[in-house]
Amino acid sequence: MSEHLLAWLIFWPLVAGALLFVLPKSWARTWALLAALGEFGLAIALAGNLQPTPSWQFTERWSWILPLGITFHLASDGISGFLVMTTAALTPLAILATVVAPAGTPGTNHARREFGRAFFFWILAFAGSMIGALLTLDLLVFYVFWELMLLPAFFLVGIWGGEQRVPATVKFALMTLVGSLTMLLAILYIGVRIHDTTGAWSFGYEQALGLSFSRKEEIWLFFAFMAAFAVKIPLFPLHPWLPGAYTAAPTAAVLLMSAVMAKLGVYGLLRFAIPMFPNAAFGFGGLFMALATIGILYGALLALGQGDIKRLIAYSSFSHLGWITLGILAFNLVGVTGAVYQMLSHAVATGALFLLVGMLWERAQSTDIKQFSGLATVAPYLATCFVIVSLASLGLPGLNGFIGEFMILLGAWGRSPWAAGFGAVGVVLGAAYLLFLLQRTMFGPVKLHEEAPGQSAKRPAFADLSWREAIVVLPLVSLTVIMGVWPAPFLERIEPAVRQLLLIVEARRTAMPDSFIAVNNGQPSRRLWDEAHQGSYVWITYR
Amino acid sequence: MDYLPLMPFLVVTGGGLLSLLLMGPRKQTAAAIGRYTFTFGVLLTALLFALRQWFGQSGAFRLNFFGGAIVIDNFSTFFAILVLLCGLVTVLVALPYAHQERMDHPELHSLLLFAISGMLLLGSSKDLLVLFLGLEIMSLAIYALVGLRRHDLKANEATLKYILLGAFSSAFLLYGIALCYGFSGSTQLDRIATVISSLPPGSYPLYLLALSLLLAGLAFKIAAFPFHMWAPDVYEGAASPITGFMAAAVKVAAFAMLLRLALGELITGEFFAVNVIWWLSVLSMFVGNTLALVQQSVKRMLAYSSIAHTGYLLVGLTGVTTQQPDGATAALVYLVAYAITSIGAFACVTYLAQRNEQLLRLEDWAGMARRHPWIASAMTICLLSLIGFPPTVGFFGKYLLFSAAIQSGQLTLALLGILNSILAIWYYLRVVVVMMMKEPVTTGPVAPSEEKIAGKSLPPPGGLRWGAGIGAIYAALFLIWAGIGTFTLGIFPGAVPLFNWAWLSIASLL
Repeated sequence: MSEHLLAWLIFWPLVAGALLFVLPKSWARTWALLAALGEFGLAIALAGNLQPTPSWQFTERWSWILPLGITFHLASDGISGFLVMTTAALTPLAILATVVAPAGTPGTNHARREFGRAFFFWILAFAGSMIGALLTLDLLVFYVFWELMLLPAFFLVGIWGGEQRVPATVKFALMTLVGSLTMLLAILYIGVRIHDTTGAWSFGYEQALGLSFSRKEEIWLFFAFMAAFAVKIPLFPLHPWLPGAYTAAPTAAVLLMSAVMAKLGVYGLLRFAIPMFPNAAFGFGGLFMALATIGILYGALLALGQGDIKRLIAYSSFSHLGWITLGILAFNLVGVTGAVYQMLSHAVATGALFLLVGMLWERAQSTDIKQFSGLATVAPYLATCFVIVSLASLGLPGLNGFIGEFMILLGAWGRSPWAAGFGAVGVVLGAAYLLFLLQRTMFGPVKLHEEAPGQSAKRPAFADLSWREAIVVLPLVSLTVIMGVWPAPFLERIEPAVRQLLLIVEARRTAMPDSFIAVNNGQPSRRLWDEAHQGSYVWITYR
Repeated sequence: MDYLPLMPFLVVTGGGLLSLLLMGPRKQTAAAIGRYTFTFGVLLTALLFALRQWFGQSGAFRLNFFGGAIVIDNFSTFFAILVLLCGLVTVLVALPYAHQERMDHPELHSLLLFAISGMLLLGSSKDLLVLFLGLEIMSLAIYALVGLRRHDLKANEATLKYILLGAFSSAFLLYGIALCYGFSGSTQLDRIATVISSLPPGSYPLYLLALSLLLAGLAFKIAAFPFHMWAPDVYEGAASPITGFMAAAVKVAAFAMLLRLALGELITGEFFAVNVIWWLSVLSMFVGNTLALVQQSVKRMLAYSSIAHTGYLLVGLTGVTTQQPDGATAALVYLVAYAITSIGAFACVTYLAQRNEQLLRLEDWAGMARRHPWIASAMTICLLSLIGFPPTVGFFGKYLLFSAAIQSGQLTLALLGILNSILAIWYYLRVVVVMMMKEPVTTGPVAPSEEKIAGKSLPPPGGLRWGAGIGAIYAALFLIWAGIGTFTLGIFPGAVPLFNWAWLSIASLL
């Protein structure tokens, strides 16, 4: 089993999900939970055995469609390994956070439809397909998983979603599919180019890295890939699907969507778009940096104006994703490493926030900010958790959001002080909307039950965290602290993989007017910030 | 001479003739079930013979009969297997449907068998006259099948339209054949190809005219753009199982002929092989997809989308030559994907539309997944395959088509194909959204016992729709299985053997 660890990681949730339909209905949640815990065990085996080296690990390769050279080439490194770990860790929480009750029972997550076998099947399939996209190194197989991952999100939001789910789902599916079909064309083009160059069909990542493109080709291909990734992230003008889909989605789905699915866009950018088309990426890096910065500010401003907690967090997630993209586009070690670290900590913090919002919804059947006040008095544990993850999300030092944000800031400063400066404004705005949110909901006078119009008698008392909810939230809350105080075990595994990736990018870059050098006062060597494990930053000269 | 390779054709034709003699009493259920068992058995026997032919030989084979007028090679056997599979599923879907709709006429069986025998002949013809013979046997049977719902005005209109336009197209085809004979002195494909290759390229007016007429005749059968007008009305008017059969098998058979002409060096030269087919393809895609966007009836939507799929298939044919046959292989795989998918989709329509096909409007399907979760899931899988969504075989086919187009330098065509796939997503997904996500408008199924059709009250549907259900689920499972591409479970072909068989079929033509 150990030599097929990655294949197990991908296919176990899919197989276990299919088994749900054979098992009795009443076992659905238990079986799904067990399956997700098994997946988590596999992910621990992966992350625990991940070496801090730049090479591909756990490589396995078996042919899928041999005459066309499509292979299951699976491998992991520090970047994908931790994202897989995040996915596998969040899946059992998503399942545990879902209350199975007959449709219409008050006090359940969006209770319009019963959470039956199909729901848990789609949750497991969602995890499996995302892990598949993270672990594969064959472009066509990557595309297959990339598309597959849309289906669970589509059905989870569309069938089990809240109000306005249908337009939100349709918008989400259409925007995503347009982007990914554009990417398909680019992937086919690359496959044909590999065939023309080597004489054999292949869609391998390494073969694609061996190609050299003309400038025009590279720009087209880069934009075709970016069409898919920028929708998923989402980058500024392509974000309209996000607030609707996140707000309508049931808790379990929005957890996986915000924590992992959005990261896959960034992952694709980092793994595929930049190394394969470095010249175009550098040439248009400024444009995308600008878009990311606009996204940070725009998302934060919109979040400031929201009256609904879930929508507010959706916009804050959009803003943070712009921040992560900024780090990737810094193209230096500290920025990219910080961005990858921020992907993990954003997954933890935003995931926890969405889970807590789901719990609020179950209690009040609403996520309207006006409905809540003084929760810290009524439900102190819940409020404490909410405050901690909010602070982590806004980047308080000592919690996990700070590390990534700081590294991204450093990296982005090295590339474009303007972007870093405007991004920093976004941090301030982020602090503003989250603190306003905390002030209005967690603190202040307790007015919850008396002032709710007309239905205070029917509503159950506003309870603090139950045991089940505590089990769901506490791991994430403690992770925000652990990752904030002791990031070294994560960083030392992420950094070699990022370094390797940047080396590939450098090697593939041909002569281009180098804006990077110009930024650094015309010094001839390309410098990278290197992150020492003790937490101090030193200059090193790269190459 | 060994006639064993001709057995599929002989069995089906003989079965058709025999079923004329053994009609039996019209009204009795037992007789009806007996007839269906007979038809099913005939098709199954023919299929076994075809499979024996395919697997009994190692590698490519080519056997000539009747002085080379009929040829049994991998290509024709591949098409025979595909057509017979379509026929088997159609029988399964049609049995309960016909009983429920009181159109359990004995003619259905002989007509179906004759249509299939015409298709088999079409797939293995190597002579333009045999081609015409096969095409007419198939077409006449299909005309009658379309009009089988004789009390329905729409069906009557569809039949009339189909016959009139079909007769025109046959006349075009026949005229083209005559002109071919005129300039080459033969109706055999090989001889005509020899004469064409000795002509100065593209300069012989008779050849241009003949080929244009031949193409017009075939384009009518595959419902390519300027000759597509009949498709929506006929698809809508015919009974749903028949529509599925027509959408799948007729297109398969006509494409068999088209591929044989293209790879037999009949459709040659820049003008035909690239330009004409390029335009046919692009226009079919755009017209089919844009018109499908605005349809309210699911059946009409599927009809327009089938025009678009003709366009995708023609992408594979653009610029195909014997030196570069990858596009043809891709078209073959896509044809299998399309045939199974559309049979499955129409089986779902048969099942979900209920008696007298009353639930065909899209809004009637709201919340269908609550009432029939399995069939709605099967329909979803079929629609995803039509979109070209992995891991269904529709994705595999589309991927092959577009990569073949890029490889032969038709980057624009691939781009337009992708653009059309984006258009198509909208109307296919709309059905999924309505079925899965909208709340049902009415509660419970439409009360069955009260309707009357043409003055007759009908029996409640009861469990009689099982055939359509089995057909639909079978098709859906096939789609996923053929898309995943393994051969480990051995029963169904996955993507790998499917591709290998398609390649072998094309190779036997070269």
